[in-house]
Amino acid sequence: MKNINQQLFQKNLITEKQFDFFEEIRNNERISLYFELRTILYLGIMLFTGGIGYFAYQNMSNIGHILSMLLLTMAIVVGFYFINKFSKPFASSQVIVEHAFFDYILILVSLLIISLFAYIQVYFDLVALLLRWTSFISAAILFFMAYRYDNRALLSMGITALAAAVGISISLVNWTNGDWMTSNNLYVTGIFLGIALVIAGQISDFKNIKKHFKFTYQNFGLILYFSGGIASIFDSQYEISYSILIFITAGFLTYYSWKQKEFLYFIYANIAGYIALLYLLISIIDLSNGGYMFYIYFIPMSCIGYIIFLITKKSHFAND
Amino acid sequence: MINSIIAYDIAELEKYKVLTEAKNLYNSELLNEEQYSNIKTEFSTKLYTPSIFIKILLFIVALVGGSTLMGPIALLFAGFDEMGYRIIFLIVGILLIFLTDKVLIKEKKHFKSGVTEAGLYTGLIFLAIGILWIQNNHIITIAIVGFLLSIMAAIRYLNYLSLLAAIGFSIWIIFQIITNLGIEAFMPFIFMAYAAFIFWLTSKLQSKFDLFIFEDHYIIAKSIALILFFIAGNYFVVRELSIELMGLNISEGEDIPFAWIFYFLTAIIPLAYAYWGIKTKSMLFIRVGLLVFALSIITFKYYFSLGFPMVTVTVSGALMIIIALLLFNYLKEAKKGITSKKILQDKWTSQDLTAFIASQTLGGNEINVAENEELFQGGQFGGGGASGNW
Repeated sequence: MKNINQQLFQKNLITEKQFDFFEEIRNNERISLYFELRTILYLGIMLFTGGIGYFAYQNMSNIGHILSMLLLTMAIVVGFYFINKFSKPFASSQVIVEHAFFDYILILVSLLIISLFAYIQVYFDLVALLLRWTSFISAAILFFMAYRYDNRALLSMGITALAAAVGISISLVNWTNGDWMTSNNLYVTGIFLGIALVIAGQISDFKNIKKHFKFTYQNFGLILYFSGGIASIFDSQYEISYSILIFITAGFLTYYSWKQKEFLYFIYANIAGYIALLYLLISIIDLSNGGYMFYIYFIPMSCIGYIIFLITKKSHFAND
Repeated sequence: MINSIIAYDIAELEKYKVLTEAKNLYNSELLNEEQYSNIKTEFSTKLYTPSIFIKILLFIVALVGGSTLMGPIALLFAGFDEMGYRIIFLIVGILLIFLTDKVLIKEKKHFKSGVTEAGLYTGLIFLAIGILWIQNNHIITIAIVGFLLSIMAAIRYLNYLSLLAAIGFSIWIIFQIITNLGIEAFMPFIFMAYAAFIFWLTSKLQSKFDLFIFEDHYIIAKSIALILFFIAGNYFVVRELSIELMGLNISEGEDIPFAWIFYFLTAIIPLAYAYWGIKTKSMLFIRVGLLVFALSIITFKYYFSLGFPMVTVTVSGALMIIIALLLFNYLKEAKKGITSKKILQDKWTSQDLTAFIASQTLGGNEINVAENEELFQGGQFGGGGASGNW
């Protein structure tokens, strides 16, 4: 087979007009730089806001500081002019703005507001006073922008800022060099925040307020819940109780996500559940005195058995 | 002939390909509902590919299961000598690949299901261990065995990672030959020639076997060739490798021999790629061009820095924003067939994924550590700070 379009056209599955158009795309007569330009814009926002945020805390002359604040304010005003031009009024359902980069401008403006706030804090010597509240304020700004203009990226950033406010870093990218959840207290915070986020997602769904935000809430919620739980299995003194808790909730989630075909949650539940199960088993069959022999057989056998089970259920996960 | 080389049924792959293309067109609102469902019935395939998350789960579980499999087997044959264990590894490796091939792919019609990949990788690694064992090998044998195994897997199982590995191993082989012959000084040119060779070979193969099943292989090989060509002539790479491999002592202010060639190459290659990409409307050249352009800028900044890295970051960020917005505007109406409007939906973009990436890269996840005395020097910033290390 050489040409899909030809084939579809011969079988009368597409019209001639479509055929011509698809051929133009296939022969590179018509190309779109949409994704490339958006990537450049995204990286630009990342670098620019990162740099601006950094300078807020540098020693700058008063004039420099005031000038920066003025420039930021101007940029924000221009940004809002743009946003107001294209945005639609608030609605509790999903609001879609058909624009090539509206969402990125929203993110840029939100981050600039947060940067401006940081400059104000430093300039008026409020840093020590507001230290504990900075992240809360950032989170509040991000949540407001996320709901008002319907943007899931801002919601995700708001959730991570909220977690940061209570002392947890949800940085999967950087997890190796962050001491995330260092003290016992933080595991519990993580677990409770996780549960709260899952409930928030459920409420969005039931009350029909931005239903499509449910995934973002619950995804972060479950990540927090399970990683908090697993961290406490390894680090706290109540490892058995935590293993039982994680194992049981993972079991419930496995069942629920299987029924609902929420397969990302199914992965989380499976992995966390398996770790908890291994921990529980180890507390019963010790690794010493030849107990490790059990695991040499158990781990491969359980995995292979599970794979065989999943493969036999393959019609359940057909990709459509 | 091709039918016996490829593990999969080509007629089924063809249907699968049509279905994926049609799905993409439908998602991009270029096909209507009726057309899409007609195509779906016309080209329904027996191949089984689960949804992405299940694929990941199957891959992880199968990989853990497969790689720990040697534990119980080794216990069964405790007391064997080295040769015995090598034979066991070989047998288990061949069995795993056989199982993947005959049962999963041929019988159960799995296609990139995660289990097939895990079976293939563990099988190949066991095979490699069996062939090479652990010690007593000349380093080049490892590279050659790795190359042969991965190129076979890349072709027979249409596996992309194996293709990458094969190219990597071939680079390693050439590297070994160069260092053995002691001609390190020519390394940049040899690798540039090799990159050109890969590109030429891929183009040749592509015109000889214009097969849709290898379409992605060709794209991957060509991208790697273009990137390798840039890296081989990149000033930073050449300089650091000269110091590393030839024991070159370069004090401050001094430069490597023929430095101007490498400065020139570092500067000109990205521009050449981008120009060629726009001229021939080749997305491959445009994308690779953008990537190496960024690398080129980083290279020059590294040696000619003004000492204010954060200023550079901020200014270049602002420039990127402005350039992107201007180009969006300029290409609103297509210019010579190039537009900034979305034509096809990208397979990899989902709003939820973008949201997650944004939360990980655009800040908001950094803790304002109250105890941290050095807060104000560290540039740690609880709100909009970038979390990347610049």
